[in-house]
Amino acid sequence: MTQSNGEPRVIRVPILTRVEGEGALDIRFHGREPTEVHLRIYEPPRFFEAFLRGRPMEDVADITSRICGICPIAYQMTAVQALESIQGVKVSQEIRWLRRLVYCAEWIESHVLHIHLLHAPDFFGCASAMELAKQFPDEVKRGLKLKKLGNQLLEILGGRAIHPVNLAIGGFYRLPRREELDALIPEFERGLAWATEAARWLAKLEFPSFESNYEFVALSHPEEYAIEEGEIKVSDGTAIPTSSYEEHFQEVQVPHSTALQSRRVATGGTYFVGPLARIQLNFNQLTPHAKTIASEIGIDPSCRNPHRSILARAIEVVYAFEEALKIMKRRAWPSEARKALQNVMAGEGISATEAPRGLIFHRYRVDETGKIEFAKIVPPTSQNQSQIESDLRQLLPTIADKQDQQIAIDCERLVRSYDPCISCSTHFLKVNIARDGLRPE
Amino acid sequence: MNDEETNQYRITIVGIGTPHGDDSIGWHVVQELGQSGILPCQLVVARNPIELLDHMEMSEKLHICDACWGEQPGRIHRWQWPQEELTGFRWTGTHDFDVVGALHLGQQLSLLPRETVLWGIEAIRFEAGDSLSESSRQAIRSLAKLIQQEILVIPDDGSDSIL
Repeated sequence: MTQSNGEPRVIRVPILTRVEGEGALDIRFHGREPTEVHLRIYEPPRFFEAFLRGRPMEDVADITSRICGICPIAYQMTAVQALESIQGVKVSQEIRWLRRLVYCAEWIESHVLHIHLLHAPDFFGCASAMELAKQFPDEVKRGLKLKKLGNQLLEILGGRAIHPVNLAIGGFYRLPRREELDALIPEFERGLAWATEAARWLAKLEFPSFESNYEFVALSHPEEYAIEEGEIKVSDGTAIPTSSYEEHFQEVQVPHSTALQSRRVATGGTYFVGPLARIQLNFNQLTPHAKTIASEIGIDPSCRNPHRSILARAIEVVYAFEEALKIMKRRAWPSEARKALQNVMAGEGISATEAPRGLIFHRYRVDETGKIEFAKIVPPTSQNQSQIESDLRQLLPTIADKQDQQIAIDCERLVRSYDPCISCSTHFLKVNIARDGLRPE
Repeated sequence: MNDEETNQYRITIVGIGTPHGDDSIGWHVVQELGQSGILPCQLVVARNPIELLDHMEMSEKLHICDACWGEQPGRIHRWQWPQEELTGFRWTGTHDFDVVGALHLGQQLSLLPRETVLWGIEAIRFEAGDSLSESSRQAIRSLAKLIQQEILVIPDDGSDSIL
């Protein structure tokens, strides 16, 4: 509000909680209007792209997986596929299924963690996961069991759950044992039932009535719900070949953040990536069961409320269990773990996949000895950052009459809807609010 | 690992960390213990402390190893959970759940084993690309030895001190 002495009202959320990593939010009001909304990533940049230069291309998957402990497969898979495109390697359908399977494991693990421990407390009136666990111990335990199943599958296919090491250019370094996957099938049947119950539990939630006219962006595939490959689709109907990503989306530097932000090249506008975008653009490719549960809990392609992303995540967990079971039950098996490279080729290649938090894009240039000359990595959180600031600018005038503490809570809840991973874009979250007449802390 | 295999381990040792400098202390302790090959334990490395919750229910005793901030690099701490001092202690994780948060959550959900021991090594280097500091390198060997002595019930010879 306008203060009597005409000074701006400043609200600062010094540490945003229940997001991956560390960052802050600075808000400055003049009257009811937010004049400054800065999602501030203040951790030092980590220069992974520079680390990669001069390294053998075989090292890229291992190094990029260390960018994030929550979604290492997204980084590895995108890197490996980009490098395979340079080397002209096309993996077999059986290898592709196993790669999709390990990606399902990562979706399960990441989504379940966010739903149960980071985001659900916002909608059950709990200040933390501890409070939620007090109120809903069985539901939180069920969430932990789901997460553990994702971990187990990740360990079998990735070689280990933390910093998986098994993805290789041309396939896998080692194939999992068939019986290891078979042993998980009954567990995953139970997991699917738990995931369905978890989605139904979330149907009870009440969400703020915030909506916006988003431009959703996600990969889309003609035959399946896009995860590890596809072309880019925009909700305005535009279809973009993945190879043209950089003609349509650009990263820009902003003074208040060490992480780059992404914009549409044509309009300079923001865009939205992640589970809600995928549900919007690829809803028809969900399984019949996932679509039924989606309809039951109230999420469909007409949704424009980012808070309801928690429901989109829950549906994707159901889908990932079904898809994982489908793949594990297939009897076809790769004839070899990986295709050996005959000759190293110099060149440039790209790949895009759907990380749990949304579209991730990699581009590499390799010299004739197989060393990396150039690397570009665009994580989903960087792409959503401008959209989050835009949402906050729309939300703030509607809540300007509230106390600063409540404004900070409402803003944090909106930010958490995006499941930002500041570890990827660098780290997260503190909220600072300035109003006329009050000095920032 | 299936349940049948897991059940044979009643003691679990979890090393928490990241690959970055001294933040990898927990992983190195577990590696050191694995190389000795003599402990009847399940050895686990984890990046996010929340993963501790995956290993609580199946264990009778849980040892957790992590790097912590402090004034004396290489100093080793041993805490028996629950302990008030831990709540105010600064751990190295940047994620929402630090080790103490994960233990509180485990307690809330009645998942904690009969006994939980938290080992910390005071450390100084945590940036991406950092290597282990010499003080941490030495402390890792000492801590691995201390854990071995405790599990195998070997009398302490006094050469590796703890707080």
